[in-house]
Amino acid sequence: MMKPWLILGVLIVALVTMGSSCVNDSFIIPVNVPLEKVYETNTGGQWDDFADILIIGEIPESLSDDIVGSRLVDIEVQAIDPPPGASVQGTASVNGIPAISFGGTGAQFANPVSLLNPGVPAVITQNQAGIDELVRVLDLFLLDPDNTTVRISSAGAVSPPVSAQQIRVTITVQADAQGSN
Amino acid sequence: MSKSLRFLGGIVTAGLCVFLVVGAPPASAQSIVEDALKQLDGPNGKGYMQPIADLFGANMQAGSYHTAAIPKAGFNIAFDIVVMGGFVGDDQKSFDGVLPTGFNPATAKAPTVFGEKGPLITDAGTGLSYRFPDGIINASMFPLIVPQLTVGSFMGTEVFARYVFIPKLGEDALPSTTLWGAGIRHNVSQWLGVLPVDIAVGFFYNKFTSGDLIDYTGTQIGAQASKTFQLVTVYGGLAWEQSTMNLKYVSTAPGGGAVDIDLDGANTFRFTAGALLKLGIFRLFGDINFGSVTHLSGGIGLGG
Repeated sequence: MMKPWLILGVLIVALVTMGSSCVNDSFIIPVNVPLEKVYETNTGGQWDDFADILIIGEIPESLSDDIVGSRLVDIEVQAIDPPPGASVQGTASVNGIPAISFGGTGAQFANPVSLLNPGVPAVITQNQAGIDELVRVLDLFLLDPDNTTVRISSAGAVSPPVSAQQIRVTITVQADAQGSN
Repeated sequence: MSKSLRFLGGIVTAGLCVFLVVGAPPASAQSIVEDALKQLDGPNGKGYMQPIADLFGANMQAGSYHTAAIPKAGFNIAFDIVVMGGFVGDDQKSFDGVLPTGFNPATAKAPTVFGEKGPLITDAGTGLSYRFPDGIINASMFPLIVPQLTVGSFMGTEVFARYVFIPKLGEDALPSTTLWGAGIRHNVSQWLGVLPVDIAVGFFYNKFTSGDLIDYTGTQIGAQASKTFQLVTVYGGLAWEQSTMNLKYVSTAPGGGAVDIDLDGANTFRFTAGALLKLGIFRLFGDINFGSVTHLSGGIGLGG
């Protein structure tokens, strides 16, 4: 009485082989990598600080084995609970090279503004030299993923001076993790 | 390798496909699909996973009956292995992806989990770019296999249940996964006098959970008819059904955060046509189901 089992076997094999080889031979998952630092003003209302970030350390371990591409998605600035009428002025740099300049009221920075959403009128502008530096770092990252770090820094002032005012700068890049069957 | 081992290998292979899709491959902390999903915000996550909800919902509610002839009384028990497969249509391989706010263009055609390569989109104003994840699953058919136990009969009524449990393995390797379903069917013919066919009605509830990521629920109400010719029973049915797959995850996309979305399965109505072959204590069955999702189910049973 093996026939019924054989027929079911054929059915299953048909479903599996006709229908699905399961995982594509090769596929890309672009991993969102936020390179972020929160800066804090001193008693004079100024901030000037940096962070050295190992890029691979920001990528989940399960996806960090085979990175085959990368790109800049956006750079975002936000003041956290700022006085609405205060002036917020600053720059953010990549390896010391300014990538963005920003300036506006606290109210304008209460929600994130970014290169893609610069506000009307724009309160954030792109500086190509710093963007180019970031692209260079991302290219280097593909060649030497385990050791590539990037220094992101920011300096600026809030006036009238507010101490302990937090300014968050987030550089979002995508790193293409390649998976395979 | 013996035939039975090969047979078991087929089941395991098909099962692994299902586990992969639902979030539980054995060798990594998170499934590939879950990794891809976490890169997407709510709207794009919904678009990426909607075909899974459609096909899985249709599969889960298939293959629960193979005849409308339910004995009026007496102890009857049957054990079935039911295999289902929903066809993956071309329209289930892409969706209208939404780019991060401010991008120009604002939308782009992006692959679903069954799709191909993700497009790289460049913002016209800034030169910034964004890429959607590739499709992960290479399939023209989406399979599911479940065991089913049917017990009756009391006043022409029988109950059936499906159950699969995979415990959590390792620290984070494989999330706990549970699939179960239960239903009840009643012989209506007994109340209608002499009819040329047997008629039954039924209700079916089914549920699937995998870790904290997926929580699926489906219900089905239907009527079935069948006619038996010696060894062969021809059966068919109409059913209303609904299913919802809830996904919970934390998105790393710009503006993402905690995502909690419900994906409604496409199937709300199905027509089933099939046949059952009785060979001693064995029963072979197969049917085709038409609705928003067209799919097949079949299998083998003992008893009944």
